[in-house]
Amino acid sequence: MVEKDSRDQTILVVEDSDDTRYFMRLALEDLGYLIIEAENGAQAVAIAESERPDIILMDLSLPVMDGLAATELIRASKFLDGVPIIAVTAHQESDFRAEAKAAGFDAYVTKPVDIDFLSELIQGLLI
Amino acid sequence: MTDEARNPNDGEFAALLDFLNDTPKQLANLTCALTDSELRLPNSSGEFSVLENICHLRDLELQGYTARIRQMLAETEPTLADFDGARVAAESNYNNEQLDVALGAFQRARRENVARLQSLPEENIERTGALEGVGRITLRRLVEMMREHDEGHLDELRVLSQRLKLRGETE
Repeated sequence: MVEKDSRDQTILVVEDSDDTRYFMRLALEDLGYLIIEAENGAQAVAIAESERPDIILMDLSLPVMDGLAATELIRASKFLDGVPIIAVTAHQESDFRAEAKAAGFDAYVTKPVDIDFLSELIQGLLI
Repeated sequence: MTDEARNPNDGEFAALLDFLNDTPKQLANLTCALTDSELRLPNSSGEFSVLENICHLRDLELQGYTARIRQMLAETEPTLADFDGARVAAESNYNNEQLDVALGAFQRARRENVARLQSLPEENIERTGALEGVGRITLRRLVEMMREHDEGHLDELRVLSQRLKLRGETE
């Protein structure tokens, strides 16, 4: 199996905090990914459908539409079938993990985000 | 060995600072032709008005970036507080402020920050701190985040001022 070059990959970063969004954009661009952004869940669904990213990083606490609801909508879209979604959250509780899994997330990372860990996770999901 | 050979990123960091230094002038250019009512007109998409954008940039510069830069230079691995711009804006009354006062305050704070960063020995650019909700960042990364933030608001203001201009032409 051939691992794709990160330069071919587009990541949708869904995050309402400017600092976190900019940090993730810059760190992931350093790794060679192309980054598109959304600041709320509704915007994320619209951008995901129009751009079809290779992977989505979804914050859970978002204005307008939260990350769980946005993920459920994305999972219901046939056009976005198979796009991995990683939850980005401050939560660490086990009940949250079950809720995230039920909503359709493939994995989750906790804040503050460890970019090395996130990078490995992304590479694993994109193979 | 030339300076450039010692640190190939020097030019990049200098370019970042040039960008930051130019932002107040760009903001002045984008806002100078707008009337008082245009400056305060609520954005149709529920985002900041022009004046609210400027006040937000000023408060982030003063309460966020200035404090973070000082801490990163003075302390070892400081914890850098989050700046919740939406909350600060909601608790303020930005649309009652005066553009020239807000822009002047932003310009002074930005000029001081850029001057401080320009005077740094090379090794200090890699000093680190833990930004709340984000994690460990270098001073260089903080400056890159400042540029990203500036770019976002400049883009928003370009769209807004264009929309206001078109609106004025049709009235």
